[in-house]
This record gives sequence, structure tokens and C-alpha cells, in this order.
Amino acid sequence: MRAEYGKILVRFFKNSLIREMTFRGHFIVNVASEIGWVAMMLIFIKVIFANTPDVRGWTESQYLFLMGTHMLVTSIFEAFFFGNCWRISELVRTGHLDFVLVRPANTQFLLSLERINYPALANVPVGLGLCGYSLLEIGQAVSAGQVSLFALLIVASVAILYALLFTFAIMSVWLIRQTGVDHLWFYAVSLARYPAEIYRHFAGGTLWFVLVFVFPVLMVSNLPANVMVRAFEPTMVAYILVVAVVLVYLSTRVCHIALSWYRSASS
Amino acid sequence: MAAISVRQLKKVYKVHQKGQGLTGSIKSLFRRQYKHVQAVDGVSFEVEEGEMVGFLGPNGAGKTTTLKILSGLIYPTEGEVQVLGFIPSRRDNAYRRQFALLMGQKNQLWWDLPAVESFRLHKEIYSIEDAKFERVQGELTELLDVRDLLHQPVRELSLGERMKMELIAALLHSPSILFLDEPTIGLDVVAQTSIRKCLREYNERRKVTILLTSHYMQDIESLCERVLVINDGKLIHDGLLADILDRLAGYKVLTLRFQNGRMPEELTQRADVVEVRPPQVTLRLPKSTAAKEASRLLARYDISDLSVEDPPIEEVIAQMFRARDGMAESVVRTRDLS
Amino acid sequence: MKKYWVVFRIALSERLVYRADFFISTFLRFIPIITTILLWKAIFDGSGKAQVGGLAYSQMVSYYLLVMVVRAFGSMPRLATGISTDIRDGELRKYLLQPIDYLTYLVTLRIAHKLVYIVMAAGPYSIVFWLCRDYMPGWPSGVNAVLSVVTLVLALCLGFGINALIGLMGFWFLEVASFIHVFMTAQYFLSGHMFPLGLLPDGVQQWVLLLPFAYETYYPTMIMLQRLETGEALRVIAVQFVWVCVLFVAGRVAWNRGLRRYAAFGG
Repeated sequence: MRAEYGKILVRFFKNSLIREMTFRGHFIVNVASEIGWVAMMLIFIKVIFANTPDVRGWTESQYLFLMGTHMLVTSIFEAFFFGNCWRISELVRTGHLDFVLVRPANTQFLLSLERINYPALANVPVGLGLCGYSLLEIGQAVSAGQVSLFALLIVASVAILYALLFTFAIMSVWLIRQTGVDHLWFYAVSLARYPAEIYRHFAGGTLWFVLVFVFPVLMVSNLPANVMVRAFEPTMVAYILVVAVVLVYLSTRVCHIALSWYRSASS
Repeated sequence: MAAISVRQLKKVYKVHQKGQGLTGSIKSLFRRQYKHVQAVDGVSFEVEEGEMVGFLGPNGAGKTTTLKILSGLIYPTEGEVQVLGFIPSRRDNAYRRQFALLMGQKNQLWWDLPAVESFRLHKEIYSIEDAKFERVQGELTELLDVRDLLHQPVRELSLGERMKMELIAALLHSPSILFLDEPTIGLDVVAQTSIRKCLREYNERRKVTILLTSHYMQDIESLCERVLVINDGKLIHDGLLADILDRLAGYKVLTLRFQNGRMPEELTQRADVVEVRPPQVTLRLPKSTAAKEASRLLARYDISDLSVEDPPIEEVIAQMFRARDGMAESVVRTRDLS
Repeated sequence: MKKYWVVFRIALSERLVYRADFFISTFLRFIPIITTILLWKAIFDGSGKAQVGGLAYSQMVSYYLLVMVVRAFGSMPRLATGISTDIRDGELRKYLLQPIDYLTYLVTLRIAHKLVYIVMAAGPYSIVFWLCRDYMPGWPSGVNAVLSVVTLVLALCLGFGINALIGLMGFWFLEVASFIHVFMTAQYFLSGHMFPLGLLPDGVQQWVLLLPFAYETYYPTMIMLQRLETGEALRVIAVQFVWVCVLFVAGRVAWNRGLRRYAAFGG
């Protein structure tokens, strides 16, 4: 008998929602905070483009689109996976991982999706709004193909971030005290926020290379935005899709090894 | 076939030895020092379907480790383990549907949600049918008398109420085997009794096999006929609880109550006095001579009441662990930990 | 006074335990700075101007580096959250039973933590500053060095005052934790941590500079950047001092009133 993952997922969604309802104030303040953050970023963009016509080839409207895309990617990740990845080291430390391991369902699935952070989703419409506004400003028609590729790349980006963070988090089986998942996420977000081209001119492009091919966080917001408002680079698109699949697969392998180790080493 | 069969089970795990101070921690970064700890050392036993078996032993004796191996949480180092024909460490979903694990010190229910929502999650994870879910949940809430608390967030429940909810969560999918690790720890007497009652009824009704560890002898006394006593990773007794007394307690406890509260001096001075609480004296007598000595005392003194009892089981067990070498148990050997 | 000396010593040795992680995490802290600096490089290149918002490119780089120094003094991670949870979970009672003043105790703890951090971070910071020596403003004059030290110490006091006051709101509002998040976001922007406040349009700038936040980061950084005349620097220090006094009084008032409320509600 297979566990019915769809039904489990629906129950995760419901329980998280019920939990959210018990902290009503929390939701409103969170949304307010996110909107405040967007306002600040918009002011920053205004400041930037008051001084320069473009940032490494990105015009103000294109930059706005990049920002919207970045919000989409990060808020989807934060809503579904961030809290769960963050919780893993806690589960290991307290021994509550045992409860997850005895359940008759895939452990990685249970670990990755149990808690949904709904307030983070408030940024999805804001991000979409920014993208839409920017497209209007650019005044360029987008094809259905472009939009579906954009959606696919958003999924791939979230998958890449998930695989990296989850892999890092499950390693807490080996190293209980470590620089937290929250730090790694903070660094990933700060690196991916701006146009990737700014790294091209630094240290002979070494950093750019590292952030594209070694710790591939640079393309997560840039590439979907590129496809919509700048150039379509087929090789990069193919590369990112492959990276997403490979990294997710690797995360399942690392999870498997980590849990086996946990079960032979813990008392 | 036995529901649980364990043969020559061993579990050794490595503990990383941290160096002392700064130089020590740097050294241990490069050359890790490990200590091997033998948590379970050649344990064999079988449990029949529907049996309730208690696990006794001091902290660190290997009780929890054995339960964790049986539930597939950790791999055995050596030996064979079979539960209901499954090998637990393979963690088949089919096996994981068959048992439940309850740990008194940890909770699996969502802290901020009413317990019923966690139950519904279990329903999906264990693919329990609607009708069956409603029926079992109804039965259990009735049995434990927590129907009114189902819709209250778990964090607002008392420890005892929370434990009852944990128990319901564990039983929802009607497991055939229950592993209970300290299920009543820290609970008040009323809650303890009610959880015991539930377990007993449930065992009778469903013929569920229960393996239980507890610090409270009352849990074991009221639930289990058979006990496994484990110490330092070794099984030192497997049999009826009553047999422990016969086999291991070589003495009886004799309590004398004197007429008019006058207690003979020479009696209170005896070497085998356990307690003097006028007008009562308690003596500890060798089993073989207890009856003779009792009648001798009765004839000699002005005694209003006399009782001969077995010693309290806690004491026997504690004594057994304290003096395990002296008990001349062939299976007990001191172990080299290094 | 002696008991606070003991608190100070214990906190000191407790901090020193974590030295292993420390080195790496200090360097990681510079990652977002690199990103921001590369963005500014792109902006300067795009604008073709020698100065943006009154700062040359090298000054912009050193602005962000010096902000790190100022934040090393002024930032108070988890102070506000710590106070509000102490209030909410009843931990505060523990302190009330002891002959110790809670706020003085916290100040002592923070000073010890800051001292250890600053001493230990001095190494990594010097390395980074040496690597960026071409961008740095050069050795300060004696006067400027004194002013810098004074403004840094006041930044520390100011940071403590603001964060403690926010934390003390926990006496009145249960869900202060999410509010703290909003506050942190606003602080990031309003203190000049995100970008130099001089870049803001005049209309906004004059209001933002009136707030105490500007004296937490922006002004101290400008003093260290040697961008302020001695007279102006003295004015800044005077205003900082006034803000510290105001916050001290406000904190005491909030504490006394809050305690009365705490007692009335039975904690």
C-alpha cells in the first residue's frame, strides 16, 4: 500500500493554516513587514536610477522585473521549504526525528513539507504585480511560450534553492552545532538579488563562475527574468534545468546516507 | 511464530571523544578519538502475540536502544531481529504501519494545534479509512475520557492530558505492536492509573503486543506478567515478575506490633532490624528460617499483630543491580568499557 | 557593582568558547558587502560620474566597510526578542527575585559580548581592510580618532537603548516578536545600513535624519569616513548623547510602569 501523498500534503496545508489562524496578529504584522521591505527596495531602485541610466545593461524597468522575479522565487521557497529546512537541525538535536522516521511515508517528503509559512506567500502577488508593472512600462508583448518557460524556470529555481538548503540542513545529523540554515539562506538571497552581470567584472569573473557553477545561486532570479525581459539563452536555460534535477536527486542521496548514518551511530 | 524474536542482538556505537581545551579541540579536528560503547550485548528473547512484557533496568542499560532497534530507528550491529516477520531496519512501510512508538519524554503532536488535527494528519499518513478513523478515535477518547479536550490546543493541556492524546495518536492506526518508552514519566498518579487502565483494556480487546519500559514499578506490576531485566546491555532475567522475588530475594519482611506499645529492648537491638517505629518493629529474615523465627517470637513476646511479606519489588531490583556480581548470576559479568 | 563584574567575567568566558566557528562566520559576514559594493561599481560605471550622492566610489566602498565596524558596536542581536520573551514566559520573575537590576545586568552582558566580539573580530577585519586599503580614507588624525571612538561607544549605547525599549513593549503587547521583525527591517533602511542616507531625495532625507536611527549607523560612519568637519562631528556626538539620555529615561519609565503592570497581572 502506498502512502497517499496528495492527501498528506493537503493535511499539512490545512494544519498550517489552522495554526496560522491562532496567531492572527502575526499574519498582519508579517504582511506589513514584507510590504515595508518592498517599499524600501523601491526607494533604493529610485536612488540607483536617479544616478545611472542602467546597471550593467539592465534598465530601470528590467531591474524592476528582476526584483519581482526575485520576490517570487524567494517567497515561494520561504513559504514551503525554509521553515522545514530550518527545523531539521532542531529535530535532530531533540531526538524528535525518531517520530518522523517511524512513519510509513517517505522521510524526506515529511521533513520537507510539514509546515507551510503562509505569510510569506503575501509576496507572491506583490512580486507578480512588480513584474506586470515592469512589462507595461517596457511595453513589450510576451508570448505564451515565454510565460510558460518563465514559470518552469521559477520552479527550477525554487528546486535548486530547496536542494541546496535541504542538503545543508540534513547534514546537521553529522554536525549538530553549525552555522545555521538561516545564515546560508541570508547569504544565498543577498547574492542572488542583483543582476548577475555585476559579478562578471570582479576578480576576473571568478566569483561569477563560482556562483553559477559551484554554488549555483546566481541564476535563480536572473535567468527567469532574462527570459522574459532580456535575452533568451538556450544553453543557460538547459543548464539550469539540468542543475535543478541533479541537485534534487543529490539531495535525496545525501538524505539517504545521512539517515543511514544516523541509524547506525545514534544510541 | 513469535511476534517478536530477537537473537544474539548486539549494538555498539561510537562516541566522539572531544579533546579538552583549545589545543584538544584542534587536535580532535584532525584525529578523531572514539570510544566504543556497547549498548546491547548479546540479548535474545521472544515475545508472543498479545503478550505484555516489561523492560526493567537502570538508566543506560540498553532498554531504549533495544526498543529503537525493534522499531527500525537504529541498525543492530550484530544479531537477528524479526518483528511480525519483518526485519525492522529495512523500514518497510508495511512494517511501519504495524507498530507504534510512544516516548514519554517527547511529543509528536503539533504543539499549537488541537490534538484532533494531529490525529487527522495521522489518518492520512497511515491511510486510515474515514469510518474506521472515527470509530477508533471515538473509542479511545471515551476510554481515556478526553473527548472535551480534543479541540483545545495541545499547548494548553496538562502533562497528563497531553500524554493521553499522545497515546491516542499512537493507537489510531490500530497497531499490532506497541513500543512504550517511559509512557507515564512525570505524570500524576491519577493520569498514570488512567493510562495503565487504557493499556490493559486495549490489550485485552485487541490482543495487541506491548513492550514497555518504565521507571515506575507500578506500571510493570499492574500491566506485565513477564519482565525482561536488562543491565549493562545484558539480559539477566526473563520470566514472570513473581519469579524475580522467588529467585532473587532471599528474605522476607516481618513486621511485629506490640501490645501496649512496650517494645523489648533486645529486639530493637538486633542486627536484622530494618525499621523501628513504636509500637512496630520490622525485621528482615532469611526465607528459610522466617516461619520458624516468627512462631518463636510469637510465643516469646506479647505481640498483638504480625505479618510476613515479600520485600518490595523495587528494592529487590535495585539490590540486584547494585550487587549484580554478588548474585552469582552466570550471565552477569563485568564489562570492559574501554 | 561587584556582582556586575562577576556577570561580566562569566559572560566573557562563555563567549570565548565559541571561537572555532567565529573566524569563518566573521568572513562570511562580508559576502553581502561584496555584493553591494559590486552593485555600486556597476552604478558608478553606468553613471560616468566621479561622485554619487557626494561620495566617490572609493568612499562608497569604505562606507560599507566602516558600517560593519559601526554595526559591530551598535547592533544588538536578539536583545529585543530576549527581553520580550523573558516577560512573556515569566522568566523575568527569576531576575526580580534576585538582588540584581535586570537592565543593568543586560547592559553588562552586552558589553562583555561586544568586547569579546570586537577583540576577536579585529583580526579578520584588519585583513579585509588591508586588502581594501586603496579604498580606505587613510589614517585618521588624532582628533578624528578620538571622535570616532566616542561616537562608536555612543552608537553602542544608542543601539542598546533603542532595542531594549522595543523589547520592553512586551509588557503591553503579547505578540511583540513579529513587530520586532518589522522594526529591524525599518532600522536597516533608516539607519543608513542599506545605503548612505545622503543619497535620499532631500524631502525624505531631512525627516529621516531627524530620527535616532541615523545616529546609530549613518553619522558615526560618516565621522569615521572623515567626511564631517570637527564642528559637525561634535554636533553629531552631542545629539547622540542627548538621544542616549532620552532613551535611558524612557527605558526606566517603561520598565517601572511595565513592572507595575506585570505585578498587577501576576506575571
